[in-house]
Formats: sequence, structure tokens, C-alpha cells
Amino acid sequence: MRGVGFVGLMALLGAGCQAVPVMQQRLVSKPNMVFSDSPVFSYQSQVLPQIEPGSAMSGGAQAAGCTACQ
Amino acid sequence: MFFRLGLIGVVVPLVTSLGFSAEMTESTVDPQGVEGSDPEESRSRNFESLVQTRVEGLFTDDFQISQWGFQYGHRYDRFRWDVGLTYDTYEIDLRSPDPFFEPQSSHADRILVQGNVTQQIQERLSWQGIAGYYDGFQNFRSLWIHDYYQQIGSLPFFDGYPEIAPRGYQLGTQLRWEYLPASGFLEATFGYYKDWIAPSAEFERVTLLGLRVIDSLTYRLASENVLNPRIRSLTEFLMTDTAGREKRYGIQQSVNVALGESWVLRFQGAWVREDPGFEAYSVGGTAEHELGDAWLVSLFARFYHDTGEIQNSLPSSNGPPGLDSYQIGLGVRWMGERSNVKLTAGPYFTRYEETEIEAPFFEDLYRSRNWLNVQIAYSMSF
Repeated sequence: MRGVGFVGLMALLGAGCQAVPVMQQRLVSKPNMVFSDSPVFSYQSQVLPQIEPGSAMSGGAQAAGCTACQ
Repeated sequence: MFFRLGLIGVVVPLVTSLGFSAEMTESTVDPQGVEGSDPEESRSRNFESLVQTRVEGLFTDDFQISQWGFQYGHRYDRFRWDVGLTYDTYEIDLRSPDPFFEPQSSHADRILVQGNVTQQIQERLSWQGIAGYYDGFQNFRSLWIHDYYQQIGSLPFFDGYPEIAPRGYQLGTQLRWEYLPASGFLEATFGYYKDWIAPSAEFERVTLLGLRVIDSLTYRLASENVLNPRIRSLTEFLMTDTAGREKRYGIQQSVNVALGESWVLRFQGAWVREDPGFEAYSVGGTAEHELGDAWLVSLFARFYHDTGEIQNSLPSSNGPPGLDSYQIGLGVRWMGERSNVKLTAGPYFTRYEETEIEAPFFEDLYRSRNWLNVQIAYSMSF
């Protein structure tokens, strides 16, 4: 678990320490380049987590695993 | 069922949005009771409404799952709110090698309502509050297990299985900080979930039941970054603390790359672990190509693997064995000035690991299957 924490911390720190000027963000601002909850622009299925207990990232009993097993 | 939901999904938002359009027109013309307000002034108030709807289906011979979602939201200056309604349906055929079990067909649905409010506290800091409530089984697997237990528990030599009313609610809060102008965003999210579920059971002269109520706390930390003029990334960490279980840790990395004016590649990888032995990962990618000003086509593929959840020591564990799943599909999207439509479709394959269980009563639930996954979504702002 420490390894995961270290990797995560490094990813966060390395994620971006310098702002990219807005005038250079034309391509990364296109609708399909943005991370969005909109169903039109979201690429994740809302139904498949019913089958894949380890795929949901949004909490709740379903995301936490099976809802009926011990 | 899917086509009925599809019809509802298309008609309802159009009718609703027309209704809201009329209301919005009045408000825009006279937002503060002042006749003849300048349209430019109205626009500067950042006054916008959004309607979104989505229908998704997952089908195989004996299981049909569908979900319809509708959301209406409104933004005015620094305040935003939205409410959503989600309706799930499950149609399943139950079979089991249990000699006392008679095959049956079951149907159930679930309704979820959810609301969000977002307030921009400072120029670069916003707060969000989330609340939701649902009534019904969270998934088709819970329905399968519940109906199996109900039938077996009703045998004369067993003590029965209680009447269950699965439901739950969630409360959450989130802070979003734009720590680099338009380039770096940090999100911290906390959520509390309470779920009344169909408990596992062992039938003897007295029925032994598992947990009936589950409390979960989730903590999420995410960083979204524009790394350069062509790459945007999202790194997410999640920790879930569920009553009676070890903590679950997850990390998900998403990267979007603009190859040029008309090509976009999206990658995603995720890894999850929960002691004593559950581990899962997934990798996937989407290639999207713009055809002219309004149309986009996409091709996507995804692989998922987990080690399974059989962890109890009972001879008839209802947890799933290890799973490999594969998804591929094609999508098409139309983007208008204020409306967008998306359609995706493709096969989905689930392959469960073979296990040696003393009493494999649930082996049909966890049988490898070939599915069809279809999604239709529509959004409109005005």
C-alpha cells in the first residue's frame, strides 16, 4: 500500500506545476478532450459496474463490492 | 423494455425542455422585473439551463438490464444546481443446480433521485453538495440472490427469508480548487452511503443472515491537469471504508491526447485492491475522429480483470469468482450549437474463472456470457 501511495503522490506532484497559457489550450478545450459527467461526453458505462465489482470509482455499497454477499 | 425507455428518454426531455424554454425566455427578457433588459446584460449574468438524458441497455439471452437517466440543471452566475432521476429495470431468468430450486423469471426496478448544488466560493474555489435516495435493488445480481433465497427459504423445512425492501441514501461534499489558471484542478470529495440490502443467508432450522445494513465512507482526491497544449490528464485516488470489511483503495488514470485537429485518443487505466485478497484492474482506450463540423465517430475497447470475491468460508458462497471481461464498440456523436446526441453500441464478453465450490448454487449467475451494450444520450443547453 505504501508503494501505491508513493506512486500516487508522485503522480500528483508531477501532474503539472506550470500553467499552460489559455491561448495555447484550443485543442485541449474541445468537448471531447474535457473530462465531463455529461452522458453525451462521458465514455464510461453506468451499467457495467453491476458486473465488475472493481471498476466503479464512485463509492457506495456497489462500488465497495458485492451488495449481497458476506 | 429498452425501446419503451428509449421513447420516454427522447420524448420527455424534448417536452420538458420546451416547457423550460418558455420559462427561461420570460426570465431572460425580464430577469429582475425590469422591462427591456439588454440581452447582452442577460448573457453576462451567465444564466443557463441544461437538460440531459441517457438510456443504456445491457442484454444477453437470460438477463436484460436497462437504465434511463434524466437530469435538469440551472446555472446563475456563481451558483449552480441540478436534479436527476434514474430508473433501472432488471429482467432475469434464474436457474441453479440446487435440487430444491425451481427455475423462475424475475423482474424488478429501482428509482434513484439525486440533487447537486455548486457554489463558487472564490474565483478559483468552488463547493459542491450532493444528496441522493434510491428505492430498489442496486443491481441485477442482488435481485437474483434475493429471489433465490426467498424460494429456498420458503421450503417447509427451513425458517424462511425475511421480506426485504432494499433502499439507500447518500450524502456528499466536494471542494474544487483551480490551483493553476485553466491548467490545474484539485478535487477533494467525501461521501457517506447507507444501504439496506438483501443479506446473504444460510438455511438451517434457524436462518442465519449476513449484514442487512451497510455503511460506507468514501474519500476521493483527484487532480486534473493540462500538461501541454495537446494533453489533458486526470488522476484519481479513492478510499472506501465499508462496515465489516477491510478498506478498499483505488487509483484511476485518464489521459486525453489531441493528435491533431480531428483526432483524439483517450486512455484510461484503473487499479483497485481490498484485503484480504480482492484485486482488480482495467485498461481501455477510445479513438475519436471528427467528420466535418458536427459529426464524430469513435472506436473503443476495454479489458477488465479481477480476482473474485469468494472470501467467506461457507460452502455455498454467493460471491463472484474471478472475472475477465472484454468490451469493444463503435460510437457516433452529433454536436450542434446547443444540442448533442451520442449513440454507442458493441459486444461485451464476461468470462468467469472456474472454481471448486462445494455447493455451486450460484454458478448460473456467474456463467460466462456474451452481451450487447447500447447507449443513447442527448443533452441541450438553453
